[in-house]
Amino acid sequence: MAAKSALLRSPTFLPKLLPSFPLRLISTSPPLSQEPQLEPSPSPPSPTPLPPNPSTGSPFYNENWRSPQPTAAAAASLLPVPGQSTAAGHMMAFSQILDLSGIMNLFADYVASQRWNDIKSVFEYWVRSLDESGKPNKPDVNLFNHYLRAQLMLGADSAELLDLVQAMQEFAVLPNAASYNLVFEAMVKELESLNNQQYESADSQSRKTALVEATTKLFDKMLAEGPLPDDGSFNLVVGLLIKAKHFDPALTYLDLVPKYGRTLNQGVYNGCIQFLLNSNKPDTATSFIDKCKASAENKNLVPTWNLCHHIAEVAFRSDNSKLAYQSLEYFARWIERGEKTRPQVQLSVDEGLAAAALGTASRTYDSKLLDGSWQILKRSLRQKKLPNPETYLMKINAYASLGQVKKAFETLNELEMAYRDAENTNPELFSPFTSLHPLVTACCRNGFSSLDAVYLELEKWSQAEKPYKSIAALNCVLLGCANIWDLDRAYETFQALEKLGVTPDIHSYNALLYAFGKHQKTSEACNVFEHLVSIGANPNATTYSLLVDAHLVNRDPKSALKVIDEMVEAGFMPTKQMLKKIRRRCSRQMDYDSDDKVQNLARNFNIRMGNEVRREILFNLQYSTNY
Amino acid sequence: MSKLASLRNALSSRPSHQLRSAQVGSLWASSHRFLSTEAGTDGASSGASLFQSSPDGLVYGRITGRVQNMLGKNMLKTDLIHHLEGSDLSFHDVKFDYNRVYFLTGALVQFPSQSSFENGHKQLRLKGGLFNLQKIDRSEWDIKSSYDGKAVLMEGIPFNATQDDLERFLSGCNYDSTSFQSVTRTERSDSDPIRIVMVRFPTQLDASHAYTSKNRSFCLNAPINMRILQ
Repeated sequence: MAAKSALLRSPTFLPKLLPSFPLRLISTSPPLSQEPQLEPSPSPPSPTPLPPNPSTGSPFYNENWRSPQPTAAAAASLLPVPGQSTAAGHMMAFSQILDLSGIMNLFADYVASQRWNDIKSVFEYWVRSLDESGKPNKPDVNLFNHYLRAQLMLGADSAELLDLVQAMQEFAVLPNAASYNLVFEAMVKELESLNNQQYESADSQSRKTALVEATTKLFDKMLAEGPLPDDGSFNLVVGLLIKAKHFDPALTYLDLVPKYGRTLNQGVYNGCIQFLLNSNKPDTATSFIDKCKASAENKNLVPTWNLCHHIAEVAFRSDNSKLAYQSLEYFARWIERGEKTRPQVQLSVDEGLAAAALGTASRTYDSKLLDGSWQILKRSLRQKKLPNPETYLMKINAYASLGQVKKAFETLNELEMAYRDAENTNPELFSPFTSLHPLVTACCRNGFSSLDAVYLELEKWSQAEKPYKSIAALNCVLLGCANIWDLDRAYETFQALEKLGVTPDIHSYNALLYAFGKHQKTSEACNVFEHLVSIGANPNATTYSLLVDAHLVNRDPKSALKVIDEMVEAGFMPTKQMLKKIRRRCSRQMDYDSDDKVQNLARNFNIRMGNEVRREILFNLQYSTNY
Repeated sequence: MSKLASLRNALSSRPSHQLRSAQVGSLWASSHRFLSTEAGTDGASSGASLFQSSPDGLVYGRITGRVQNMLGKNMLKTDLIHHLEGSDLSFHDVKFDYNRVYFLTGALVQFPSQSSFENGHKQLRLKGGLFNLQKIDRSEWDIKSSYDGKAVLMEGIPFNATQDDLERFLSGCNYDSTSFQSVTRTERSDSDPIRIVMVRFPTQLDASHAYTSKNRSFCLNAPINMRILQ
């Protein structure tokens, strides 16, 4: 408004100054109001920018690269200024005229002769020098890897190497897995030196954790974006984690190994299995071994002989039948390998180990392990020796616990053929009360039906072309009948012994005695005893103990003591269980004379009887109605 | 004298015995040298003849493992005899050497003759070179006693188990109730001590029956691992 008035006013001035011009307003529209504002200074029209520097491939393009001399401005790049070593002086001059393949050959020579310093200085010089087309030399990834290797050998630590790897990007060279492997190698070296220190300080611990973290981060980056890790990377990283005892990341990476189709090397494989066993994870070990076997690259890996033994031991101790079977497979592979090498090496598995495997099979009901352990035992013995009788017994035990009664009896057949007539055989070897007891329990598992089935089978076998007439087997049936309180079947089986053409032995008489005694048919039991004595068979310790039991069932401690006197006369020693049973019967019947006799016997034979406190607990329960 | 003494000290772990026998041996060696009319008898041959001085030509050797100086934990006497096949050994010619915590550190073997000793060397090489065989003196053999497969080691017994509990664990087995011996062992990696009890049996069959039926069964809520001592 003021402007308007100013403008209106101004023409009044003008006519005074200019004499003749009539002022006429040109525009018909009212003048626009203009706020007094500072107008932005108009930028001078910007010219279109130049295209960027076309020269790539060397950070030295940023500096003065046309002069071949290294200048202080080289500090702009991360590559250090090459030192002036007199010996390499002419090398540098020589390298100036080489191109990429020439330099590669040169470096190959240097690596073979381990001239790391030369590699380092020549490389640094070369990248600053100009090639034949007048541009700075551009290395490729292999050349750079040589340089990294030289740095590593000269003692650069992992941080420096990592910086150098990043410097590669300035050269527009992509690092590949081999470059990162060199970084990992530096980390491993550092960890080993930390591990070898005499004592652990807090510093070294924190440094170790820092190392481990750096490794895992780098590896994860590689998996996510960077070059895919190759065999070397996996081996180095997993090896490092194992040495630093960080097992969980190691396990995750191990899971990735089959996914990426990588091969583990032997040392790392051994180390993995070792730490899985030591850290008490047999199941993880099993799954790891399975995965390695499933992958085509890793299925030929076999741990060392001693490590196989360790695997077997851990498997037996923790009753892990799968791991045990895997260890047996490894043993088999070693044996095969040994037989193929020249000169031939005959490796063998200890029989004790096979016996332990049989024990594990019987406890875990694993028939595959049973077969496997028997096979490897046979293979190790190489038909030069028969397995021990105890091993046969363990096999019978295993089959019996699995319920495969027929196979158990076949094993009994083998055992008899091998050891029945051998010298030094313990007669108790075929006793159904002790050694063959598992077989007896297996026979009567389903009561009389399984017993009958077994009996019929044995009858068939005794009438086959190669008759198998085994008193031991029939004794098992006999004792089985006695165990299920079936006196009739037991007696019938006993009479059938003659029909089948076998003579009863002391074990048969014992079984019959047991059957009678259990049913409180004491007089018949004593008749059996007299019968066997009159025949001329020698009673053994079991006979006497069964006789004592028969009298005690009849509630007759005096007769039991008479039996003990006979036993002592015959040269046997009463056992603690026997005396305790008689003592119990005496105390229940308040027969103090017999009790005195028992105490005398215990003192004579130096048997520590102990008390009956635990048994009395049941009688000393305090019943009360208080809540 | 010094050579023999140093050899013995290197091989055995009973210095007092060895010193005495070394002195006796050296006296014998020196007297042998003086009595011999041959001028050229040197120490080596008299040393060799000293080793073979036992009247029936028996040669004694000690077998140790090459790695970690231990033999397999599950090795039986028959296994060792099988390894040395052709050397004509019987069950009583082998004695296993256990240390205080019942680790198997080696085995002493009685060879009937020098040739069977050589054969033993050959067989061990054939079987993969896993064991070393060294010659030892008869005195070491005589000192060592053998369990003969009649003893069983029970590992992992709880510390609060009494003899009654052990007898209850072994119920049904024919053992020698005066023979319990208890030892504590610390595992190498984690330092958790475990208790080990050794029990003897009248026969080998009894021991193996106990092993078969009672291995990994429970004593006061803990599963017990068993091993037969040879």
